[in-house]
Amino acid sequence: MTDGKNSYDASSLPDLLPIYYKRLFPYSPYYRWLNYGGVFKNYFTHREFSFTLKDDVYIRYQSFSDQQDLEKEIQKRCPYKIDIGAIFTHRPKDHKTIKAAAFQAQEKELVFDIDMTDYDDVRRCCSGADICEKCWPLMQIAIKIIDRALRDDFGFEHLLWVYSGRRGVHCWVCDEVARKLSQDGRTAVAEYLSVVKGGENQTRKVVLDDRIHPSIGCAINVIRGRFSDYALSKQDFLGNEEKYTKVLQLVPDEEFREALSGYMQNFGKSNHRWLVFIEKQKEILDKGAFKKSQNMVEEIMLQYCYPRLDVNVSKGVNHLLKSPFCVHPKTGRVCVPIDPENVDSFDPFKVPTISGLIEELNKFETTEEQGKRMKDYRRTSLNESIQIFEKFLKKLEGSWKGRLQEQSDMKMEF
Amino acid sequence: MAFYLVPPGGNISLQKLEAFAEARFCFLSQVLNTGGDRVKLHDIVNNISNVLESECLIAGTVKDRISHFFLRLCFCDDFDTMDFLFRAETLLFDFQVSCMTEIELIKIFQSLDKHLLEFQNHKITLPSPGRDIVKAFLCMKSEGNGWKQLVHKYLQGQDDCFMRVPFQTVPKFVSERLVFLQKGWAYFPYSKLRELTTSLFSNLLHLGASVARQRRHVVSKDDRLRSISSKLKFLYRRRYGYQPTLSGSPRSLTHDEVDRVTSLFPPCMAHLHQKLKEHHRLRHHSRIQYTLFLKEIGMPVHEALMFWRKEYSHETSKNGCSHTWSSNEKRYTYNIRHLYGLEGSRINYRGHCCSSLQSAGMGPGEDGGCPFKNFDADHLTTLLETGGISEGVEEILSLANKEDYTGACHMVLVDKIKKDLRSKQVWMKCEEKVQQTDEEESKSQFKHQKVSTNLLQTSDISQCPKNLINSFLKGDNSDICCKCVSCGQGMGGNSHQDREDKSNSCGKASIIINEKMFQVKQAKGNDEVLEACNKQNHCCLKNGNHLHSYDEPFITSKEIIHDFINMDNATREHFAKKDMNQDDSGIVDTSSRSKRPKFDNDNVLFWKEGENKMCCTVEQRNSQCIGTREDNSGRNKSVSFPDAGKIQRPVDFYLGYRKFIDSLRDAVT
Repeated sequence: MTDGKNSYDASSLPDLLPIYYKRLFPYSPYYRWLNYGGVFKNYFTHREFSFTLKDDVYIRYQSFSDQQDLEKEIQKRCPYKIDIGAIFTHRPKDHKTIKAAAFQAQEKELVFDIDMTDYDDVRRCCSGADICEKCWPLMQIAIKIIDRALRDDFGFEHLLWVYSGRRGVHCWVCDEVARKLSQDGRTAVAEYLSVVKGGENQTRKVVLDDRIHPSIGCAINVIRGRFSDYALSKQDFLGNEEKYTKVLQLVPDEEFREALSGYMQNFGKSNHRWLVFIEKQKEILDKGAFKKSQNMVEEIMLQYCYPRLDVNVSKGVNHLLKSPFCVHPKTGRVCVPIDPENVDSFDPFKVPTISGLIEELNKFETTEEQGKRMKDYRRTSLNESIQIFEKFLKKLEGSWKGRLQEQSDMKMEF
Repeated sequence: MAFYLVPPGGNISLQKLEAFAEARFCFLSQVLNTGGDRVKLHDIVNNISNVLESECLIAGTVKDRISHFFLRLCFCDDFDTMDFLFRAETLLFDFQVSCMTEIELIKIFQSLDKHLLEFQNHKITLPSPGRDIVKAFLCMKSEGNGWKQLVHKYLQGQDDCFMRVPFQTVPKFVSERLVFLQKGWAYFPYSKLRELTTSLFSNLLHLGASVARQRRHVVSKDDRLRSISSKLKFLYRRRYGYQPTLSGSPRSLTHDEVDRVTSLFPPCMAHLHQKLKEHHRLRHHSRIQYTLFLKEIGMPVHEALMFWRKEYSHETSKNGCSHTWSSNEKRYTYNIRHLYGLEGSRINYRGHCCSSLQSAGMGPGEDGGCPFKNFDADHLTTLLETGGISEGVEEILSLANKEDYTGACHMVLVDKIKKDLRSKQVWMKCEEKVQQTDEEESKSQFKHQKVSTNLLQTSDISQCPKNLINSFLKGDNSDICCKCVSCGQGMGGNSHQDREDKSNSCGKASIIINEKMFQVKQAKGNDEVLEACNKQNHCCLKNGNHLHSYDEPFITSKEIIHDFINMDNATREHFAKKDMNQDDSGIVDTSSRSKRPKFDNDNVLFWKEGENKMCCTVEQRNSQCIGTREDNSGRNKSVSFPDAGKIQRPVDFYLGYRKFIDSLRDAVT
């Protein structure tokens, strides 16, 4: 994969951002999302935004009265990054005039942050902020697993998946139940979804019970479907002695580990070696030997592929998270929504960059006649992403139609 | 009305209010002390003295509600006290439910009906979590076909039929994946009715706490109620007090001194320091954890900036971290100043406490937290070995395995001190366990340890302990004369022989407390009081119930002084008297007085080991004074090992260790 046809130069960002915010940022759908149909009073006006300006100047507690106000401020400030925070008891911009105890975060979408950096101990292709086509499948697996669990287990319907601009993805759960969750509730959901646990100093990070929880069972099925493509061919995760020794460390019974290690040398390729793991696990299951290792294959698959959430981001009601449609200052890529139904066709390297978009705009301007009035972003490759956003939004709007009806019915009674 | 949904109304005398609340507090703390042991719980409930005072404890009575709601109101603004109330009330509720008959169970559920109905008819409005709980109860009722059927199914132990409740009402079950979830519903078999109900009860309490916080002014604006509230909190702290941080004089720590004091760090921080030195980078949460720790042990903000600048200016080998001080100076400076309360919301943050480090979930790649919780056996062993612990490793690992993380950490501290002393040859090798020679001793709860009398004879007998300790502190291994012995029960050894003694030994704690109380009474300003308390760092409070729990720490924190000042004189004297009484009741076991060993040398260093603590005493004796208190020249001082219970925050480890060394120095100067 390449960086796309448009190379991006970080130093040009200050020149590009004003144009992006003037002509491309999708204010209207953005406002429709955050206003939630006006079902609840002050939902938009009491929402915290924060801006990161040039030279890392960071300003919190911004809030706006309506879409025009938001547009005006964003265009004035041209933030490098916009974060979305919670809905507070008062207008965040007035927070200094209010007693600290009275100024409280009330609600926020339930958010998840999955970052490729957290997979560094199980991917061999890149590390840190880098990604490539060999490790990106991890994000696809992550979206599939978390998306399913949030929908099927928790009954959430309005999930907005967003590419974070460089190395990860965010998920915004916008259902009313999710927005109203307490800190305990958020923690519970995040913990429920965390299977890979323990830090750098815990080698074996997945320990399964005898009875595997159905939700983890579903996750294992997702991983199983992708495992041979991702782990065996792309990562070649048993490819050499160093690699398979690392995997063998996850086998709890020492004796069994040594036996397996012996087999590893007899086979040369990852897929053959992996078959050994599967075969041997069957054997010990039949014999009832090595009780601790009986879920070994599943545990290894989970440790290598199960989504790794940054739980701290999800826990707090007032934790800020980067807004969709920001531009990542380092890569120039726009944080575009991802359609969870077509995760596999999403390619982070083909995400529109700010420089590419503006070039497209210029091109259109010279070739097309000025007669048609149409939103600028519709002429660019950003349009596709905005369509995904609109699709999410349309469904979300359905949810408050009912609410508005209910409210007006209630008023009729009086 | 076992769910405490609505507070009672009416008039009550202050005395009764106070008595009820106090009785409930005492009862609850007994309940909590059982740790959930059913047998002990039964004993408490059947205990005659509790039955006598039980009018405010019978679930569902008006007095029960009064005492509960008043405690809730008094305790709601403090995390610790509220947490106490949550745990104790939830445990009690769970126990009560488990003892109930079918009819009683149906009754408590039916007591909900009135409120559920009110809610359904929109007569009461609740915040969102409250609505969810109501919904959960309504679900249980309808799914079970009414309360009677529900209780019946529970008592039959049906575990193949399920009732469902909204997942957000049972967060604990969700986070541990103990329930099956589908479309936002958590499914419970009927046999789990008790667990489910208890969990909902606990949620209701949490909700109640936030309501109580809004009504907090009821107490704070009324002098009479405030006095009672302060007293209740005082009772709490007396029982569950913690060692205040920075009670010892915090010394200023400069950025280049850190390497020299890392040997005093608890394993969690020593680990972070080591990682930082290795990679010159720490991950976000680890950095916060370490910065706050350094702040607490006395590093001023400008030193912190220098410290981090130095590290972050190095190139790093750490995967992928491209941040350097020069490119991100503003951000790092802001972060550090923020932690010092100089930016943004200007909150003066304290360091993490152990329990929050232990409960923090560790993402992959994270490096902080509590090692005893987050490290697997291999990594923990390596960490301990790097820290110089070699002997007690197995025991430490097994404590960590039993989830006694603080106990494990305390073991490390004791091990380190012992090892230090031994390696400096001040300490003698322990070679054999003492034979338990008589019955009295075999009954004792202290492990006796005989320290061999294998002397290191010194050529210069004039080396008094002062020099000896000083040379130890300086790391000088010159020949030192000393002798070690086992010593008997009781704290501070000989210090109990004379009750008038004013030594710092733990056994005399109560007198010191009394003294402090009177000091407090006479002191004029808060600062004076605090200073007086800081001077009395050694004091401990005895708990009349247990022989060996007199090492429960007494607190000299601001809060308690605050409570104390708010108390009226009568209450103060009441406490003072109580402490005296406890002392007179002979809690201190002096049975082993006669076991004191005899010595030939002038310089004596002895130590003894109890179950919960170790005590090391350095004495310079002359022919008259050993074992007696006639020598009041101030030379007789004992040095205590830090208590396990006192390590509640990483900084306690450091201060405890430091204090030990200081008092060792102090003991001979």
